[in-house]
Amino acid sequence: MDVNMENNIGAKNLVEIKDLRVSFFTPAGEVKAVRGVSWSLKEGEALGIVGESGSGKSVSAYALMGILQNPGKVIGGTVSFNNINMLKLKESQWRKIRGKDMSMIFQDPMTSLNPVYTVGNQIAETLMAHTNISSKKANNAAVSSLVSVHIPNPDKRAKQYPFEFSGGMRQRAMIAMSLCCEPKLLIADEPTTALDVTIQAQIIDLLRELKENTNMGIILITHDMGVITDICENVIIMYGGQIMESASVKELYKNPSHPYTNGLLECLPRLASDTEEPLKPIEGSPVDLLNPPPGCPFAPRCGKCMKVCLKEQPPQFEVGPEHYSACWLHTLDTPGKQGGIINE
Amino acid sequence: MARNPFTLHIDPSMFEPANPEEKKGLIIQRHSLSFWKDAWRRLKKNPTAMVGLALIIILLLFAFAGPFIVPYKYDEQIRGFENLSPMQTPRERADIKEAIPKVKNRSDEFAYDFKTSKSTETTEQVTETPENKEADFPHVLGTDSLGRDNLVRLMYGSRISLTVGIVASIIILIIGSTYGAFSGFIGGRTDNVMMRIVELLYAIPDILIVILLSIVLKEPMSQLFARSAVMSRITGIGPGLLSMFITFALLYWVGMARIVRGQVLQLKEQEFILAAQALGANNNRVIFRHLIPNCVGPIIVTTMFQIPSAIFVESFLSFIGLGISAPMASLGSLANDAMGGVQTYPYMLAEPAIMIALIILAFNMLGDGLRDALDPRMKK
Amino acid sequence: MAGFLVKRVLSSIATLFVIITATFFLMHAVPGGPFATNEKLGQGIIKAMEVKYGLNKPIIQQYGIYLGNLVRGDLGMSIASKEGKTVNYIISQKFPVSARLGGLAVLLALILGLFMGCYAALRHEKFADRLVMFISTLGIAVPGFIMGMLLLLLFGVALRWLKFIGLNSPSDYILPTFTLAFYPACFIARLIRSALLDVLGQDYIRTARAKGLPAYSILIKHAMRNAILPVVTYLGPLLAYVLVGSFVVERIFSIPGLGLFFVQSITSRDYPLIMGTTIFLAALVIFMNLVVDIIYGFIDPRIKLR
Repeated sequence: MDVNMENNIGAKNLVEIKDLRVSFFTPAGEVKAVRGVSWSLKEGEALGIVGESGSGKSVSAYALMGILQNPGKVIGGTVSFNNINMLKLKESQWRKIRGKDMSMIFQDPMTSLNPVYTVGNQIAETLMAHTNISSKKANNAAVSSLVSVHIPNPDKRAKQYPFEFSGGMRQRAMIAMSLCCEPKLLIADEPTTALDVTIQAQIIDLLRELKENTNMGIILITHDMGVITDICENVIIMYGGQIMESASVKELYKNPSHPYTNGLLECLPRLASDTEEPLKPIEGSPVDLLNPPPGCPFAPRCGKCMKVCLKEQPPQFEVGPEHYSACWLHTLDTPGKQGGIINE
Repeated sequence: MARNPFTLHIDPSMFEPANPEEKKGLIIQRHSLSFWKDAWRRLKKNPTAMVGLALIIILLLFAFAGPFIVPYKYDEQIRGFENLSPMQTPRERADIKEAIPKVKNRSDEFAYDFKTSKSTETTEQVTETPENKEADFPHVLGTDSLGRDNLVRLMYGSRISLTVGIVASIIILIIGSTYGAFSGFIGGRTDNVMMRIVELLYAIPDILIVILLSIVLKEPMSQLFARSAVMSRITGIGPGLLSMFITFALLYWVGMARIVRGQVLQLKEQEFILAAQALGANNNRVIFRHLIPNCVGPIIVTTMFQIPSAIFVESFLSFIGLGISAPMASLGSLANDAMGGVQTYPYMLAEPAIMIALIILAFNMLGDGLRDALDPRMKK
Repeated sequence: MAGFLVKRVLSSIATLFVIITATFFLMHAVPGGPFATNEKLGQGIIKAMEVKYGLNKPIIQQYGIYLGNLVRGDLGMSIASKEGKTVNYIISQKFPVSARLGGLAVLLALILGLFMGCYAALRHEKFADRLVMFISTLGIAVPGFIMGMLLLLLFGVALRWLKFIGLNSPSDYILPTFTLAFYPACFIARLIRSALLDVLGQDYIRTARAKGLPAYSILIKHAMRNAILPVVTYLGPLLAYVLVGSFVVERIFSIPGLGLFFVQSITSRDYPLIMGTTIFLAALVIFMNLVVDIIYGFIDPRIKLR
């Protein structure tokens, strides 16, 4: 199922993922982390992928980067980037694209940088792996990439080690590192989760600025619905290795259709709200991907769960313009009238 | 994957709300086990650890029950039966001996040769006497250069090694965990000073000091034991063993102290300690009733590994001529004695060497298993 | 860095001082003291020692004299040898033999251990990994000198492939070197294996992969550089192990080095020699630990700047 396949005249698709399946073959059995996920991303677009831990959001991004660690394997579907079928590439060919045309920043900037090399060295190293550039030029380029992410004293900072950086500065350095080869796609895997709230806002501002100044596609993976609204046009809600709902950010906020999405939005504190309504956590614990339920993965925790939900996987119902939701409740709508039924 | 919902044929009754019982089956169930049950279950599943445990039981039986089965004593020198090869019985040896010189002298020679035998009967007449049963009992591992049975000496040697290992570990356990617990619990300047001492002891090449200590302690200990029979009666150990224990008590507790202190520092901040203090428990009570039981996992593991390393140190010292002194045998001193005749009697070296290897291996196997079972975090 | 260096040097000196003091007073606690007159000794030596160590003076003064002599590098005089050889002379004669053997053993342990450990980590959970883990578990569990005896029995006595007395031809080095190196090699193998496995699971390795670095660069530059750190810290204990191991290995293979001589001096109660050798070896170990710590400070930037 493709979210953005129709009406994509204009910008071409930078990333297309079709029916992606990823499993981890652990001693305990096959953990089905991603179970048939499809989406696409246009050039210059920002897509948010939202889900709690274990929903498969990071794993699908790793599959796209080709950096799944053993025992993880792509067991089905296609991943194409820039119209290249990535899964058919040899590792050496993929490596040339990785870090150059697509790059990634990670959750914890503390552990994502190698502690025994200077920040400048680690940025220059990326450049030298992908271009024929002298080490001196690479070091200069590293310094200027630190400038582009607003790190003060870039000359001095480039010669420092990661442990001499603060958390926010480290994440800036990570972003500088991922941008130094001017990639077409940036995947940000929970870039703000490990940071203080004030630093989070700065990093989000930086990402938004980058998005406005370049034609780079951005995939922002997060469990925080709030972060998505600041940057992304479109959003995918994942749960239990599957897509629950996908829509543009505006449409999703206006018309959240899936019970899980509703649950996520209810978890969000609203400053503007003057009602004394308490936040509603979603009851229960995440799905066991070793033995996923035959029906909807969210069914056991769903307040509106029906018998069918426990037995059959729901298809993606089109509930609005380019707005899809995988929930059996939508069959209760009369055909033609779309959306709205579970709006509260 | 996009199925048209209208081509699906689903019973309308399926669209009724599901009841909690139906949902229940899909929520993950994880039952919890108690710490000890869980640890024991994990240990039982570990084949290496179970082999180690079985080996230890066999070795303990060999060392402590074995001497009751074999009718020889560790210091019993049977003249004329020196350097027998394995599986020879005294009778065979006697038969050979008598066959070579004369038949006439056989009874005298037998009575003389066969250790303390007071009988002068001929071989044919003593079939039923205990002495003769002994005569039929083979020297399974042969005899040494003084005519002592190697098997019994090996049993006694293993007994010494196991005793040293276990007693030393208990000494280390008591001193180390008390020191570490106090240091970690009191904290502040006291902790600082106490840990400085530990660091200093840690930096000292321990074997060198152990050697020195053994030399120094050897004389006074022997004198102490020679002067009073009471001493050996009470302790049941020789001077070599006692000085070995003193050495362990003085030097080897530092590792344990460090581990316990680390554990205590971790546990100290937790609420139940605060609760105990708030309820008016004094420091000693908090340490012994609350802190030590809660860091028991790492303590057991460390103690377990202390046993083979103590056995190693003991056999090392005995091998270089310190430690246990004759006529008592230790595995190290047996190996030392056998070094001279290694060309002619290689099995005399092989026996204690393999024995030490087995003992240390068995304890290490069990220790590895215990570590994995009790504290998976310590795995590295 | 300078502060770290000064602190480290001072604590080394303190440790050495404690050892010297402990050694001195321990040896004086032996009935008769270390320089007890011995009929084997010539009159000349006794006289010389009385003058040198002030044997009739109170013990504190003797201690001062001993310390003074140590500072000048004088370790005293052996009493077992009639000719009155100095401990310094004996060490200078015997130590090179041990040092050559120990150096070879350290080298072999490092090469063997690093190779086994890296190979096992890269073949994690495969046959090679299990084999290396099995061998190294055995190697750690069985003490080195027992291993030496078993090797001697197997290759020297049973198979008669190698001689096992003295160090007269290059092939004589095989058994003792291997005996000394086996335990540390197994230890290093386990150390580097677990460190490498740990490092390979670190986030910065994922970053390096995401940057599109070639596999060798990820392994050598990013993984090994971090995984090697625990091995560097083990170099000090490794040296101490080899020194102590030489006591028994030289005894097993009849090698005329300092280790064998030390063991013999224990039997012959040559107290000044025991004292001198102990202090010499302790100083060596402490010095090497210091060197290793300084090296570590240089290769781990987190320490360098502390």
